[in-house]
Amino acid sequence: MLPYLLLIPLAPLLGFVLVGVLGASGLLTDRWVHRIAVAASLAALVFSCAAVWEFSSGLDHLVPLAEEDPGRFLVQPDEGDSPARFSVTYAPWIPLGDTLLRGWSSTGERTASLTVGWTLSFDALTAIMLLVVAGVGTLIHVYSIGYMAGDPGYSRFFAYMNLFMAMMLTLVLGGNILVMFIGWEGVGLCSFLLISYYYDQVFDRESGLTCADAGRKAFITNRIGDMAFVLGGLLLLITFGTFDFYAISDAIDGSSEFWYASLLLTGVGLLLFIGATGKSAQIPLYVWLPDAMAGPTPVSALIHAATMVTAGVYMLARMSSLFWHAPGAMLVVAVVGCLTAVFAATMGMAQYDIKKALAYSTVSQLGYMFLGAGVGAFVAAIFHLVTHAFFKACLFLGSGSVILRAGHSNDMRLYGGLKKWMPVTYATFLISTLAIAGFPLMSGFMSKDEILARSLFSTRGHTLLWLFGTFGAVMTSFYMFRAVYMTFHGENRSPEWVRHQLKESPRVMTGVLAVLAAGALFVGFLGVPEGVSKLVGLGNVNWFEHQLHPVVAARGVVAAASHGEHGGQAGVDTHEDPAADSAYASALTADEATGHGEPQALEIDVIREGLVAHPTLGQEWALFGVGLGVFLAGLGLASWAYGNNMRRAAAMAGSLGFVRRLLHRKWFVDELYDKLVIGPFKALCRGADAIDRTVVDGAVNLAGILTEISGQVIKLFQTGVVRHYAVWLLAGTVLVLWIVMG
Amino acid sequence: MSEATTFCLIVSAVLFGIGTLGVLPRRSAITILMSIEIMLNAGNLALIAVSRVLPGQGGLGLVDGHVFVLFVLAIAAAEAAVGLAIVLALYRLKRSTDIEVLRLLRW
Amino acid sequence: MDALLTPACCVALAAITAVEAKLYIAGIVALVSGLVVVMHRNSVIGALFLVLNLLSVAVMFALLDAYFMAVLQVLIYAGAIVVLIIFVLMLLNVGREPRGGPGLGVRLMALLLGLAMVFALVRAVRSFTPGSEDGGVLTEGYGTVSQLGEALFNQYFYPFEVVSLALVAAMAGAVLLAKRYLED
Repeated sequence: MLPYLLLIPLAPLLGFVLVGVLGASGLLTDRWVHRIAVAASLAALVFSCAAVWEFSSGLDHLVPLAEEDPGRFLVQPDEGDSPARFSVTYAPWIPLGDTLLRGWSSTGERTASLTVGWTLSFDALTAIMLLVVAGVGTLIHVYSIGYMAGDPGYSRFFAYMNLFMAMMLTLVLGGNILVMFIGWEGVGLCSFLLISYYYDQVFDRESGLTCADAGRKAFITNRIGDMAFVLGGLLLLITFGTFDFYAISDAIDGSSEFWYASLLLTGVGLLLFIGATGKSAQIPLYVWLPDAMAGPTPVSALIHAATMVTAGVYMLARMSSLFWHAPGAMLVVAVVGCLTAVFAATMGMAQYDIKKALAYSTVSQLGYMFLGAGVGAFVAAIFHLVTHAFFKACLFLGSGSVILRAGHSNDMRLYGGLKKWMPVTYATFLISTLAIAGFPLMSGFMSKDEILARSLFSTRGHTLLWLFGTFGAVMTSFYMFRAVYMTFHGENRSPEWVRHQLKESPRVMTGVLAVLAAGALFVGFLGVPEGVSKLVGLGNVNWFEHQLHPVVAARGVVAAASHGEHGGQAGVDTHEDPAADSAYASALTADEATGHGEPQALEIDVIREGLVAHPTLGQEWALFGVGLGVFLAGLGLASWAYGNNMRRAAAMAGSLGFVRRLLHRKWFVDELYDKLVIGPFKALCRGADAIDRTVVDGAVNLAGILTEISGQVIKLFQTGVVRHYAVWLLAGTVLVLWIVMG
Repeated sequence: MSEATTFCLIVSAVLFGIGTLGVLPRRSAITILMSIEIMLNAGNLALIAVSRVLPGQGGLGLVDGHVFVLFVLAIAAAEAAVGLAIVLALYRLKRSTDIEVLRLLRW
Repeated sequence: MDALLTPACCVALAAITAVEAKLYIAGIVALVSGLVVVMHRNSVIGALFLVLNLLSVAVMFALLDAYFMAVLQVLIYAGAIVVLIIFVLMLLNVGREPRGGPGLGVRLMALLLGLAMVFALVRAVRSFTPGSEDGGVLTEGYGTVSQLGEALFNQYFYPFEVVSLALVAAMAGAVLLAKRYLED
């Protein structure tokens, strides 16, 4: 399967073409539309599984292939510390010829021949992302059969969903920055198309935002991030002479140059991170995600919770070697992620729209992922991505199930007591809530608490990060149980006509909910944190980390330094490997050779921070206690305020009116952006408009007037007498002859 | 260049001038058409004369000139057919082949 | 000058002179007949002199070793086109051109332009120099049908097809124009 990776994104693309073309021309009944779409998505899942299976059984059988055609295949079987990798270049895409590389570091100028190819690559990180994207995507396709039933744009919806799958899989499989960027932009396009799916309807009555506006907002906000992403990629190109991920990683890890903390890598890291903040809705570019809830609920679940918004985290993990060598950029990632986690959680606490509450929760959880990536816990971040995909998709789909039956209303004030009518939805929603809130041993506990623990104990972490993160976790637990209480408990507050038709959603939807809830329950056991397994007296049973760690581990000078300085000390995990010593030595000599000898001691001191300290057993128990406490605190607060049929919450809203309003209106960030960004931008536009009207249009009008005047003069030559024309014709001929033939 | 070629080229030039003189002051559309034929002929003559002294394969004489003349002949035939048809149509409209009466193309 | 006096050169000169004499006669006939075509008020007589003009040009073609083109000149021009012209003249019953042409200005302009054109062309002829020396040998089979056909159907195949298309179009256009009354 691996040489035919192309089939994975191609299957849903074919589905998109089929459903799009045939569906738009009305040749397909709804039944066939969803059959084709689900089959296409399922095909991608099957191909992915086949590829993962082949990958996991070792790459040795593919080595002859690479020897035969080294320009096309790259096969690196798993050996020691370096991860197994496979990549295939199907065709050259942009032959850029020879380029002069301006070395920022010691290399100086050199020429490199570079060609950007249609490259797809495969390693453990890709495998995990593939399974999540294709798996959750297929489930949500199935769910949509029920949710979108009878919608007039049925085929349009499924066509876009298939296109999204194709683009997301391209993003995940992309072997170089440009191929990834195709997927990156493609999912942005699909996000836009699907957010504005109900383009003629008003989304937010308070601000008068239509669904089309929401789509535009998402698209334009993403553009800002995308530009930074492109700039970062180009900076990498002119530095390393390639867009290829593996080549860049190897260049950073393996070169004898002293990249650590170089300004260039930090700059690239920050640019890539800004790109990630756009796609993954982090401060300051998170504002689009809550409004992205204008799309149909399956879209919110698939694109704006499970897959697309995690692309930023995936990209950071893909570029982990760069970030390891750019601690400054990592610090920014961690701080921004942590702030986003807390900030979004506060806003999530005051939303009445169930989907918006979940959207802020998504922003907050993405913040945790970035916190994890920022403190070097890439494995935990990706693991949280996976668990989050399950429980958040389940939550969104559960909310969709509620919305479908509650008269298409998103307002939680109009729900209440729904567990009587919708038992399956309630059960799955509750399981996912427990998971996200961090009930011990459920998936969210495994992943989120691991991130928090790392943020405390990793030497790139900080106590403050942990404190804020824990505070955010309390709020997470609170707002999730608030949603559960408001939706499923207490008395029903729906209008009379809705109450009469309340019942459980169709089986095609509840079945998907059940599968996802099972995932939320059990996926966590794939990556039991070492600390937790230690508590129950087991060794390290973290299968997930075992698979993924080689891909995102710190290497090169970072790893070497950690080994050299601290190897053998108690309580310090060194991830040592035999090559580290020599790498370290070569790094040092290279360092001296390039004249960095003076600040060397200082820099090595900083490098030490690449390692991860291991907490003691007592600390583990304390963390476990804190996690449980956080969960209980949120649960307690929520049941205190909302348990009693929301009476106390209503009273509290009166006394805390200002705070509630501040949170409900999202800290007035939208208004702030209006004033600070959009206002000046509009003024600029008006200025440009004035210039356009006077200067540019004036020039055009002047040209028009001149043309008219000259036309008035020249028309005198048009006498209508053929002979006169002939005279001028001949005069011109003679003139030309005289000039040319002289 | 031999005297003969020069003579032919000069005849061609003068013939072209004669054609010009016919096109400009005459009033009969058919005479003008005939003058145009003379001008085309003058061009053909120049082509034939020159192609004979240009170096070709294995000696003098480039056959391309003859090919051009062939094309000119074809175009001339087409031009005569269409031109005369137009004259015919004009005659039906105005009962005259005098171009002085044709002043329709005017602002 | 010495080279010119060698016997071989004398023979060559004599040969060229014989051909040249015929060329001169044909050229002068062509010029005179052309002048008549242009000048004569009666179009029918003009058409007849056009035949003479075309025939004398055909003679010049033949003297310039373009035998096949001479044949074509006679067949197509003198045969087809002039017949067409005369046919139309008869059909429309066009008599003498009425007196009173354009104003003096246009006539003067025409004369001036005609002379200027001739001068420009003669000037161009003067500056023309063929790539090779005179007195070289003509290519074997120059101006024959086979050579022409070879060029036409190899190098000039596509232009040739295009010309045939143009002819078809012209034929259709001519039929359309001549058939219908120009209404409105």
